Amino acid sequence: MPTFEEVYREHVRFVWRTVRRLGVPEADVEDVCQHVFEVVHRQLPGFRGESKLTTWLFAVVRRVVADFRRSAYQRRRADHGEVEIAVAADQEERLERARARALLDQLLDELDDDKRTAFVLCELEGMEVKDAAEMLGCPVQTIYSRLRVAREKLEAAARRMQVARSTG
Amino acid sequence: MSDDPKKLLDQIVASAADDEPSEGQLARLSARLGPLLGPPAGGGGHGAGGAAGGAGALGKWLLGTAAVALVGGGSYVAYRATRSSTSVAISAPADAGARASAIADAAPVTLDAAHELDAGVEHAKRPPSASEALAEESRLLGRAQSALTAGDGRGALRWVERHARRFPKGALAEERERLAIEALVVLGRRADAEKRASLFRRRFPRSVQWPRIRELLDRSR
Repeated sequence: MPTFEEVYREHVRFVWRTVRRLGVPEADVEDVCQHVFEVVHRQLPGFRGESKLTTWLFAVVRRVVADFRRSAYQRRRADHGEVEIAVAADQEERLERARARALLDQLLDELDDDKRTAFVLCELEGMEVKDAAEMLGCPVQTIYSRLRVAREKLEAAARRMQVARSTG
Repeated sequence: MSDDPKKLLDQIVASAADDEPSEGQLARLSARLGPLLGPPAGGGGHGAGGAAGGAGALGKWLLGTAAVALVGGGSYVAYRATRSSTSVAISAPADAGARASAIADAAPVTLDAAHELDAGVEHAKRPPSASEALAEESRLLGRAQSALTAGDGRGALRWVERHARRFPKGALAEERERLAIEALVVLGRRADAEKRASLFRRRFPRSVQWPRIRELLDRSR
């Protein structure tokens, strides 16, 4: 079995990206990642290798992120609905990228958790569908179906966004 | 941004490439995980190989932690200080001599008052640098965690209160309070744990430690 340090070293970037993409605001990613690894540290001795380590780790990430998103603080932020973009206005390229990233948050928020997770793993993380299916404990066809619906919803959302921009 | 919805979506999705953590962010995260990661290899990195054990390993870890905290571009202590600037009343005994055992038994007092009692007794030297302070905070809480892991709630509380006296508004104050609450639960002092949790909630309303504290209290019912 790997040590905690090995798990951290190997997977910290994956955890960070996934925490962010499952809906944790950038300002809170560090806090949530800390909590993920505290849980990992506590539970790793009980990991017996029944599943892949990444599958187990991803389950921890999902649980911690779900806790975070249920918190009162997160609800308050969502109510305000404003997206902070911490980039100076004269830095056009960075501003554009920050805007695109903020829009990605908005689009992903339109998906339910199952579709969002499938999209994050396969489209953003570049994972094979069969690996995502194993990680999420469902048939490959289910993942394909979630991905298809997720893409349709995102394209529809992008179209609405485009219309709003052109008429706004 | 593109006017074509499909291209716009591609552009938006491509922005996920910016989700990669920076080296500074990783360094801060490593510093926050502190003792869990063991001694960093070569004084840097994120805690390579082997668990911390013995005074030599601890010394190396402390040096590594200091280095990691500095790599973060500004001290972690300063970073956390901006997130937790309010003070809070938490138990402490008035009698300094009996402090250690009394803390384990009950004892509310303000952290600031406890800190003042301590000033001039143990730590009347030059103030530690930010990185030294963080390393010392981590060491004290690491000892508390070890005591808890061994089922020694009283021992954990003693280390926690030692941290509270030295670093009442320390960078790791949230972690300290979570450990204190866990120790109180281990000791079967549920009412004290609830009280401390309630103070914690007021002081750190945004804390990511909160779900864990809540779960701990729920499980102990």
